[in-house]
Amino acid sequence: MGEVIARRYRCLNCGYEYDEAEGRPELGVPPGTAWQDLPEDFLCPQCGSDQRDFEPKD
Amino acid sequence: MANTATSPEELARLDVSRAELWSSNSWRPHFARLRAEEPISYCPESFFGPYWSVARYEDIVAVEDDAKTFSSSWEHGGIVIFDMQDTGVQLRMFIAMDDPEHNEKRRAIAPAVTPSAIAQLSAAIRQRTGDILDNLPEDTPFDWVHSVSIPLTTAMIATLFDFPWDERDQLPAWSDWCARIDIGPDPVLNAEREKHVFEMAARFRELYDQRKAQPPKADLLSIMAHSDSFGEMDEQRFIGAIALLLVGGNDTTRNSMSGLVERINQFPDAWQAVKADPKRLAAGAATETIRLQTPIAHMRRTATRDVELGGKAIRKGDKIVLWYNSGNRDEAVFPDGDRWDPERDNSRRHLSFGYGIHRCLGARLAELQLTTLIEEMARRDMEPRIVGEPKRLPSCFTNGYEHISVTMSRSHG
Repeated sequence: MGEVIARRYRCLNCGYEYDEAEGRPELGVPPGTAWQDLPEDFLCPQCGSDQRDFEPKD
Repeated sequence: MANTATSPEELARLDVSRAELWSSNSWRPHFARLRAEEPISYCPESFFGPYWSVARYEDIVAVEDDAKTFSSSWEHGGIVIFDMQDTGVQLRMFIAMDDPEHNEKRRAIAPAVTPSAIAQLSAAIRQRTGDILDNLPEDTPFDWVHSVSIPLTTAMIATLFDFPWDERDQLPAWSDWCARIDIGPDPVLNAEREKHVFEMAARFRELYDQRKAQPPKADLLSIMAHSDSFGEMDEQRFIGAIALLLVGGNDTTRNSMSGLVERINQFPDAWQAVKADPKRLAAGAATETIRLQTPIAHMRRTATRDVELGGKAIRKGDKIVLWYNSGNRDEAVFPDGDRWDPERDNSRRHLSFGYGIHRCLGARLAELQLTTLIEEMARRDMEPRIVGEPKRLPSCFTNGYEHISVTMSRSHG
């Protein structure tokens, strides 16, 4: 089984980065949560933008 | 190329805040030259005192991305080009604060504008929009600003505050006086401004105290009244909190709704395409309208330390003006940037809502209101035609209109 590489996603409206490895435990998102597995109502914790305004960092 | 007579020295000192540039809608070539030749420029003299202009998209983002170096605090003068800290209306609003106080207050308000909260408003928005459009005259000139933009946005803000419905017509004037920075230090006009703003504050204070004594509800006043982070505010903080939500929900969407009519008239082929397929194009048309209108043309920051920006030495205490209207037309990001293109793939990157920690909380609601207006206009096959020249606000902050005379036809199918 290949190694899963955690990725980071950047909010294009404020610069906040969601790191899959870290998750956002205080928001109920445990470490290791992949971007596509985030709840539909996950918003940018910094500016409130929704997921369509994020893009992969690399 | 426009304005080639301007020398490099003159360009570097160009005062783009002058009211006549905005009332005559003649600011575009000046900003195009700044972007191309002097993207970070220093104006040593203006009605608002000396200031730096930041004209390119990437430089605006860089400044907004460094909120510690570039402060928004009212203590330094706040977020507009006019230094308000020495006036009777200082507008100590949370957008004019740095963290942590800014973040505490912002987080308290955020639940009011989540996607689920806004979805609950969508049916009422559509109903009101349809009612207003159905009652517009046909083939007789009318003022789009006062017949469509103001009634729609006033109804929305009254709903958000749960403001007494039969008093809602006071809201636009209060909002306008809060946002009028073009009066500058004029003592007579500032006294007039204070009169209106304190009247607004007194009425909202009555309502705030009532909501505080009642169980929590979902409206903005109740949220504030029951929030630890707002709690017992001093008078200037209270005025600032109300003014921010009022202007944020009122003037900005109003002027985008008005700007929509100009875009439709300038780009009739694009409007035909939107009308033919609103399901696919209405949201893009709304975003493009907000990009091109840039209803809040600038935000201001104050340097908290000496810093270099784009090769220029900014000194601690310097005023830096971020021209969103210019960043939104930066060809490096938006090719053919003056064109209203509902199919533009990166339109949502516009700066009209700002960038970074102060980005507009109500962006989603503004988009919904404008998208709904476009969809309902498309559904009625509406063709608004501007008659004469729109009357624009003489303000480098609120980029909008006093009147737009329009005649309109629509289908009755």
